[in-house]
Amino acid sequence: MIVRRFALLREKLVALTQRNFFALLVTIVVSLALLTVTNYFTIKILSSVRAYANGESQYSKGEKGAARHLISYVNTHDDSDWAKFKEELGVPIGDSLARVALTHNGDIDVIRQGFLAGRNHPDDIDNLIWLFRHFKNVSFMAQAIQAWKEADQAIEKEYRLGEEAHHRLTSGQWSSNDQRELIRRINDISSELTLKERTFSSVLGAAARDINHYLFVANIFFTLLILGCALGYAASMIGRILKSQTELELKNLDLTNTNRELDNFVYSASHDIRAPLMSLKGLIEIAQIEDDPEQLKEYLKLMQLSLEKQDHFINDIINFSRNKRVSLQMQEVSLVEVIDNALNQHRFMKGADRIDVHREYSLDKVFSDPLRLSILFNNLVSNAIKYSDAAKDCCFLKVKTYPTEDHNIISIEDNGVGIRPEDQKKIFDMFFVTQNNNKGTGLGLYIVKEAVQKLGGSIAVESEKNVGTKFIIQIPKRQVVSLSTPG
Amino acid sequence: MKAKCKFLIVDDNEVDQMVTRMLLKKKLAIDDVSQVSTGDEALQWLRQSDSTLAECLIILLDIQMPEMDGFQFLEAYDKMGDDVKHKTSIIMLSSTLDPRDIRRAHDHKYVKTLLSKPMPTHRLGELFAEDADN
Repeated sequence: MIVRRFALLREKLVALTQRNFFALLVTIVVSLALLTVTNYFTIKILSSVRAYANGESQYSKGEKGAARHLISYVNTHDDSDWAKFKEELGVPIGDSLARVALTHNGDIDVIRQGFLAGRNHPDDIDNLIWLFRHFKNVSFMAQAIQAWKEADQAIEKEYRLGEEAHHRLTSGQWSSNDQRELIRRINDISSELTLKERTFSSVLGAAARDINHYLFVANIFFTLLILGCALGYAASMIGRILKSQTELELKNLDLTNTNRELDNFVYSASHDIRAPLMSLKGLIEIAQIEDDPEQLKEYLKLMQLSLEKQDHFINDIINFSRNKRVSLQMQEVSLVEVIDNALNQHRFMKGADRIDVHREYSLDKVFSDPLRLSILFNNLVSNAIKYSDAAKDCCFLKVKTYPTEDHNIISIEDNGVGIRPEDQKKIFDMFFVTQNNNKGTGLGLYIVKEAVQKLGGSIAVESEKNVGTKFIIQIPKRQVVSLSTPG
Repeated sequence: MKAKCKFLIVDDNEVDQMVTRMLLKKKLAIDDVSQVSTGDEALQWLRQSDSTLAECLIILLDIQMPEMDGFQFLEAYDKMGDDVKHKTSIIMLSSTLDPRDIRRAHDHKYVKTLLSKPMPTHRLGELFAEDADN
């Protein structure tokens, strides 16, 4: 029970695995690549966003510093404050120049100079440029750029305010009214800028959080996908191993059987080749001590008989091998020609002169393999002559060919000694010989059966002891060529 | 003593029957030889000759025969009466090279020995001598 369940599971695994094996592999590779690319770009985006946040902080500090120095300047009239004002305001102005150049695809050196002036870290500049160029039309970046642009306009206002105050101070037209007005306007600008900077920061911050979230989801998704595929892949590998194990076991069993059959064949064949030699050896031994010339002649005759038997056996072995090894060569064959050839070849066989051959051919041309056909008819004709009944006055051999709807039929009928019912099942077995029979090798009908099977057909026997035997061969007209012998 | 032994050749091959018979006759001057072609015929012969059998019988048994081979004959022989078996010695005579047949013959309780065809008359002579010594 458990074994059977295991076998079922095995089959399921095997079925699943073969189909999806490559799909799984491809999915794993693609997922890994996508995961790597996704992580690379997300980290690049996040790192760029961080650089912008940093830049915004420098921008803001610069502007605040500039405002403080401008107020100090109009209070103290100290030129160093005026210089500090311009220096600090240079930070947002640098960023502004970089932004304008980026918007208009300007010179890369101008952009770099601008960002450097904006006190951005030199290593961050590539990321700043990259994010701007690739994401300027993406919602979060477009919003941030818009806020930045508006902040830059405020910076410009502050700059003009400073210039105007400086001009009036140096020309001595500065009043306390002007001073109050300037402080009010600077405060206005500052609060406007704070607003813009906050927008800029919050847009980028929100984008960073979103990206982080998506990255997390993507990572989980791909990790699960890869894990699933890896499990599937492992299952598929196990399935393969199980399958090849099953195949191996079957092949082993096959090989063991083949080896045993081969052993049997070798011993049987070697016995049949050796037996006539041993008869010959015995005949020579008794001939050596025989003085009667008539008796010697008798021994010589028996020697010849033994050799003929051996020759016959070797012929059968060769036919057996050819039938097994030579591939089918289907072509148009004249059945009449093949059968007449077989009859002619056996014309001088002992006992052939007593046999009348009746031919009833209503079929000639067939599409078949000439080698198999000739092996087949030679064996059957030879058998009919060999087992003709000496007790009968008139012997016949009747050969008929005729077509049916699907088959070509050939029947070979004789009135020979016949086959006992209990033997009829065994006559096609290898090395089976009937009783009181020194003539057979036990191979002829086995080869006939194999040849018919190679042609995709079948053979049947009808026989009655002392009456005669009829072999009926059916060969399909449309034959599906099978490369190996069935069964 | 052994000269009184009767021989029965069990062999489907007529040439080999004749060769064995002639070798016994010419080399060992043994004339009292019967021959049958199958195991079945041998069993029948034994049943019929039971009462007329003299002191001893030597069966020269081939292995490869149609219908009932040498070993199958031995199985049927096993069921026969003890009085026949007491008088009988069995020598297998074959041209087999199959080690399984050789081992089986060697281990079989009824088989005195396995000889290779053609009948080695000197070996048979030696077997007589051994028996005579005992």
